[in-house]
Amino acid sequence: MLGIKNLDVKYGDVQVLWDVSLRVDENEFVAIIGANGAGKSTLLKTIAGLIGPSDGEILFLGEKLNGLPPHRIVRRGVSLIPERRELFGNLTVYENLLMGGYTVSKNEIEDRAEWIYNYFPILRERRNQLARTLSGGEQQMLAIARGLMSKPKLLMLDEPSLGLAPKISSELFRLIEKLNSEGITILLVEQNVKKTLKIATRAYVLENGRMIMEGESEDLLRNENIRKAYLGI
Amino acid sequence: MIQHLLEVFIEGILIGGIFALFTLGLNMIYGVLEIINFAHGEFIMLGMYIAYWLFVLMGLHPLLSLAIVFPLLFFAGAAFERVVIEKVIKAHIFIQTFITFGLLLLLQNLAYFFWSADYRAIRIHFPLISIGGLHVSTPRLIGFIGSIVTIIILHLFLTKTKVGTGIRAVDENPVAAELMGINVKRMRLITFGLGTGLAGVAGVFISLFYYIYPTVGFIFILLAFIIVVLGGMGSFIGSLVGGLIIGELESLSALFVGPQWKEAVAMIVFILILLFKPTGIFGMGERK
Repeated sequence: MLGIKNLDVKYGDVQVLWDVSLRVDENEFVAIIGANGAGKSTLLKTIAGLIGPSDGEILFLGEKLNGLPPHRIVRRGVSLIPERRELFGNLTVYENLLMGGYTVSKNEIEDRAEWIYNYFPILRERRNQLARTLSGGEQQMLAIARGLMSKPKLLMLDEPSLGLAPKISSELFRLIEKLNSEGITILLVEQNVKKTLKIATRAYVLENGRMIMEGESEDLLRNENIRKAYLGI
Repeated sequence: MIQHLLEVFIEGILIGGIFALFTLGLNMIYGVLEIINFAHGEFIMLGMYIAYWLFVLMGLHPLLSLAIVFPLLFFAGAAFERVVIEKVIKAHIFIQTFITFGLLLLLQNLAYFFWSADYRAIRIHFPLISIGGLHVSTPRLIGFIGSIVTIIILHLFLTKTKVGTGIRAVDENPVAAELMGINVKRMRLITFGLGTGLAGVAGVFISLFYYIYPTVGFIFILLAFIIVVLGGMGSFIGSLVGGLIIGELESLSALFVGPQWKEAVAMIVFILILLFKPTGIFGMGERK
């Protein structure tokens, strides 16, 4: 479904990603793990079109994504839920959803919102509240709900558990699993390596801008280096 | 005396509503594009001249000329955004400032060239209105009502339509808006066009009771800056309330201090706000 080949990304003169390749198949749940500053967010932003790669290729469903502006990439079925949520705080919950469904046709949007409300009943209750008045957990729910409005085939999440209480982040992980089981392909970036490897089927390890390892989550969980570097065992 | 004072007070509210209208245009452009359009007053001037020439040459009532002024200035603004502003959207603020200041000079000088420095006025008779014994200037009342109606339509557009909500989303977080599938570039185009279109509409209302000359925009851009700072950058309600306050201030200071001092009083208020409440009444503080 998503294929990235030999991607190089630079911020001005500073190279952040070197020769990164990655593959996500239909209905897969793939994670990218790595330390702070490894380039995980940059990779997702590049796929979403916010950053242009200096070299390499991004293919989605057989078509080239690199070079397209972000709003066109959304229409192809790729949705990024950005780090720190980036909600429209002064818009209501409903308006945030409406914006998430900007690419969806008018008659479909209400059905889509209804589907979202069934998934997240709390958002129905709060639909006329300004997004900035929600609690942290609710805001993360809204960020995901907003990202789902465009009916993505591939949902990318950048550190969704950041700043959430452990109990709420567990709920969040269950939700992501559920979305995956309903047919949405997931590409997840997380610092919470243990939880992530437990739910993702496959994972890539990014270190200093390079992919250093790739494999089934179970194998990575058993891997000596991973355990030392990321699980502290 | 009391009657005169009340009349001056009403006058202040009426003119304040029109101030609010053109300030909203400036503030919207600032909010979405993060550019200060120094040429905003010149779009007011253009609106005034178009209304004037349509009246003089074709006998068209200024209020009817709104149907021509708004779309014309919308497209002029949108075209300028696409061709010029879009090129400097990520440039340094100095470059952006010089670009819009350059447009100000260009439009002023074109107005001198084509229409000379003559002061002109639309000579049209309005019946006198008197409410409860108070005399109210009819053209100002029309301008006020027209401005408030326009502001209400603008508000409905921004809150009830998809594109309007999209503009507010871009105003708040352009990167997130882009990730939602919103074409941010197009929103900038629409917003700039709307801003200049609103300036033109305000110009038509002002032309009902004010002289028309090439540098007339200068007074209004100055007032718009004061109102934006008073009400708060990027705040819709701030521009509305700020417009009414400054309109009132001008009107009352003309009465109590003298008409030649009203701009000076507004500038003093401007400096006081910058000193004591730089975010304005409804300001949201530092933007990201």
